[in-house]
Amino acid sequence: MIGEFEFLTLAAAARLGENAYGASVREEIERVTERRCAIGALYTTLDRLESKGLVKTWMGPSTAQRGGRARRMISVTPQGMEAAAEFYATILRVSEGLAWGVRP
Amino acid sequence: MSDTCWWLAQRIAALLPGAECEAVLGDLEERGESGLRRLADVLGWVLRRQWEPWGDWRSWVWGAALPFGGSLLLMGLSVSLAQSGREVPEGTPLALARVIGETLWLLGSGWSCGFVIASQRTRRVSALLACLPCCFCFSRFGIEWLSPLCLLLFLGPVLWGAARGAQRRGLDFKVAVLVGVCATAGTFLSWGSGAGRWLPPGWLIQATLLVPAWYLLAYVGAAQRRRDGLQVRGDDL
Repeated sequence: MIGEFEFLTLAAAARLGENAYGASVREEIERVTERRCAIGALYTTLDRLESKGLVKTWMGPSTAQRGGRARRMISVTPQGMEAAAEFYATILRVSEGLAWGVRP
Repeated sequence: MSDTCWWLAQRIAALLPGAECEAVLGDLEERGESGLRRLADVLGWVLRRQWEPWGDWRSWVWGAALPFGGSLLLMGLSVSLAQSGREVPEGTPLALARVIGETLWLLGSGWSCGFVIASQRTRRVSALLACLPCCFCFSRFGIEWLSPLCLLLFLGPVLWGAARGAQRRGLDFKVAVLVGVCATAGTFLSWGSGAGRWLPPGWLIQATLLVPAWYLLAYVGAAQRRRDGLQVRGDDL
């Protein structure tokens, strides 16, 4: 099963869709968790997810805003969607009946 | 100050692969944070990347133990070869056998050590670990009739193998066989002729110099069978 940060990365990338790349995923994670996300953590997690076949990344277009540097675009694969859904279902199951639990 | 930090961050980021470096620096620039914050981000990222390979036991074997222990043993072999070389003019078959054996051993083991070490992602730390015993032995060298430079005879084959390993191109199975045969034949010829006089005593310790060559041969052979091809990527080791 994937880890918590892997789930956050998959969820953020899935939510952003075609606009998912390093900086936007990082911002999305920081927005929902209200915590700072280290860029090293994000990129090593992306590598891990890619080696597991859960995401696909490629170098996208460069923009002037980025000093002419390319973006690392991210796309969640069907296996990635499945892994994220499995993680979410497990969290729901383990939380069921607890005071903070959310019923599906 | 901010500009200096950003400049420094870009220099440090250059330690990492080109595409990733570009993407991360672009992300940092896009966010428009202070130079100090960008520097902290890059430092954290580089440290994480450098530490990453050490989670695998193979990195400790091939990236730490091999460069440290291997350089010590190869220096012993280098001095032995230099001594045997001085005895060649005596013209005895034994002296000749020692030189041939030690040369083959040094070539095979040195090349395979260099190749395996340079194939790892830990190569920078490995280079440092290999330098430490060299500096120590160089400063303590006390054989009057030999130049301390003879300690570094092993550098030739090691750097040759390292240059090949760092290219991360395919390694032909025949080359792996040649290296394995060279190292093994050299070792047995050396043992049979009483060579390797500056190596630590004990065949088991001396035979550890053969491990990289055999590992390379086994790995390339297995990869060849698995992929049904003759090529294996060096960085897969």
